[in-house]
Amino acid sequence: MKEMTYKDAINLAMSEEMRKDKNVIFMGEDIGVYGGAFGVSVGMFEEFGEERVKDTPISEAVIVGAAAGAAATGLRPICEMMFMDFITIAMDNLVNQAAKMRYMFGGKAKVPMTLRLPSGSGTGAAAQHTQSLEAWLCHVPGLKVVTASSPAEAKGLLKAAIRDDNPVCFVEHKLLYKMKGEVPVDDEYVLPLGQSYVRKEGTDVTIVTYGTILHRVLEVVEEVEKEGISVEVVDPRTLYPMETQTIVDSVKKTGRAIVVHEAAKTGGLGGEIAAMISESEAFDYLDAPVLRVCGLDTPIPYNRNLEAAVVPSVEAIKEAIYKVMNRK
Amino acid sequence: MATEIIMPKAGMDMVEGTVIKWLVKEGDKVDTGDPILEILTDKVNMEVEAETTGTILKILAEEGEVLPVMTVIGYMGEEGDDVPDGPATTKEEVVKAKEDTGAVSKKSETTVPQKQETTTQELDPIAGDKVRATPAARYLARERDIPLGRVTGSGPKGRIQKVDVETFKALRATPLAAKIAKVEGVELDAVEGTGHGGKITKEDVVSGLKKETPAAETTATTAAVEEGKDQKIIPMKGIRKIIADRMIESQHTAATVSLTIEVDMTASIDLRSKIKDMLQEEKGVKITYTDLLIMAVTKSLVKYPLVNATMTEEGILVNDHVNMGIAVGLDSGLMVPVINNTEKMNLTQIVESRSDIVGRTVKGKIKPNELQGSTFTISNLGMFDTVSFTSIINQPNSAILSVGAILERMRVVEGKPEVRNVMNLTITLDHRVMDGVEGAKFLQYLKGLLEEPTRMLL
Repeated sequence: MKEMTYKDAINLAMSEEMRKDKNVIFMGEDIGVYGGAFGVSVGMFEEFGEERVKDTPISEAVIVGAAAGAAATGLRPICEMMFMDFITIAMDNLVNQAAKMRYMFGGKAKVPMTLRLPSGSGTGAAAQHTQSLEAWLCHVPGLKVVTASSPAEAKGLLKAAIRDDNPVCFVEHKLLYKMKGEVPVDDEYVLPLGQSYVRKEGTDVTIVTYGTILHRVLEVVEEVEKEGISVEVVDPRTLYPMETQTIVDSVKKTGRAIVVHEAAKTGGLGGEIAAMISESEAFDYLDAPVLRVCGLDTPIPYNRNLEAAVVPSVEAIKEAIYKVMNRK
Repeated sequence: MATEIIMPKAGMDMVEGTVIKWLVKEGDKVDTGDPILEILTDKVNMEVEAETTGTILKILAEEGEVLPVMTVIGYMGEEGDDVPDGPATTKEEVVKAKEDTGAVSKKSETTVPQKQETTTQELDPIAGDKVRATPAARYLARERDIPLGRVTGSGPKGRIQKVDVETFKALRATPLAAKIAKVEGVELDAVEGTGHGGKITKEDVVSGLKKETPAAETTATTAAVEEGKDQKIIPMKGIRKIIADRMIESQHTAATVSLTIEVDMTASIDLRSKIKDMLQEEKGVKITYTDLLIMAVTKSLVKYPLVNATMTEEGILVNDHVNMGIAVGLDSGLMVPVINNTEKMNLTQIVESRSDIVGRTVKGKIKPNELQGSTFTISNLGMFDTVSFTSIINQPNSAILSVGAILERMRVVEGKPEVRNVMNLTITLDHRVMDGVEGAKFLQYLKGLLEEPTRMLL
């Protein structure tokens, strides 16, 4: 175990996999000499050279298209979008090519590529550099979508993503990059994809959440515990294909569920998770409606105060907990 | 021209009414508003009033007839007015009410004026379909057989939540009474409701409080408690109070006689040890002596059905099936779950039913309807080394069997002393229902079955 930041954990996961397997390559805008827009890949260019750590033109279509082709022909590319928002430009190559190749070639082709996507608000980067678009990706059969909320998870899950033979979109919330935590330096520390995780145990309410907002939820949970409300926090980690039994079991235990995410409410994963809960065997255990606490359906404002106002606040999370607990 | 008297439609969902009683006869003069007959709707008894002043010319509907609403049931008007010959109603529609409509209940205190067009839509407490309740509350209500319509919801807009069902008392309380009870920590199910339909009112809770804490609180006992701190007073409420009330009631109503017989259990012990492992392997259940007793007692009850009878207000009901109550002592109090129709069961089914129902009683997963409807009860204290005892009859049963421990004792067999396993059985019977000799014969027959258990196969 070693204390390091989330971005160093990602750097370590990529480096370990690149040392292990010469087919793993890394490409993106300014990831080489410059070390990445968020400094994630500092030192990798020096270690692995220009062959395997490729600076690309400013064209997400090229990055993802090249990665899909490289993956189908035997390499295991990792590529970085400078911001998740620009996945829009790569959408055709990602959705119509990478996600469908294995299926349309009758399983004869594999597409082992990993797409790293810095997401989310909180940096004052305005509406085109702050979105959380994971729900778009979950809607495409053939893509896996993963997100990690701590340095150790980032390392373990990213390694699993790189080793996976399918396109995996790895969503990294920008605010987490500087977060510190104990990370196993063991080369074989891999967290399996498709496994939800009870982050904290509780008895009265289940909150399903992921990413940066999970830490805000944990703060709120600590506060309401003092008022005698015990909250269980479940982090799905793999957003697609999501392992639902852990969530269902938790809701069966608590009888109440809230989904919290930063992404806009309409069409977000919250609706998906809420529907899954009410379709499941947990239905008969529900003692309150399943609530969603999500971002507003607005572009993310540039102004810092407004930016903070459009994502779930401590108060909004608390209010939802009181509501399902029928407390004022 | 005569005016029709009709079966009124006294509510949105009323489709038919029963003529209970005519309060007038043909030829009587009545004023507007005078009650002329009493009818029964599906909800209440009500009086129908005369709409005009005049004379009752003809009565068409007989008392006890069930008729669709708006049916002409008679005519009134001026004497000499023409009355249509035939009844205006097609007689096929008329259904004779069953003789035994116990439904002719107490006359309700409110009389609904005739032809009142609407009544407030009452929720059907059984349907539970228009009730706002969470899935968890519905699930629990189904589990416990609680009509959701009678539960008061504490959630938003009166939504019933799980906790409301958990704390539901079959006796409804007024909101004020419930509040006082909550503040004072009174168990509502121990309070007798005196309000409308057994509703618990504020007065009921308050008077209960007075009983619990008599004004003369400074009695020696309380003083002792305060000084001697280590003394504990268990309040008479909840299940403790229910048990107390029922036992006293049973003692007051039944005329009890107890008879004891000694049974040689050697053969039964043999039989049990022979089949114990088979049953464990085949069905994964453990056979107990209680199971053998259930079987033998059931067969004896079929032979002596009076012992299996139920006291009712009309008389002694001789049951044609055996519903066996098994007394289960829990820390929280005595409970008697019931195994229905044991006369139709083989030994395996008895063992399975007993272990299921007793197991769930111990775990607190028993449903209220599984604690009702026994025709006979067995109480076994053998496992506590009790040699012999008598029980209080579990009303409305007519008898109860008390089972003691199986003990090794010297007995004289064919003139020689031998060590035998013996057990005392005591039947406590209600002398109102049967005489002692009936109980004695029952015991003798039961003893025979247990001493030669192969007979149970016959």
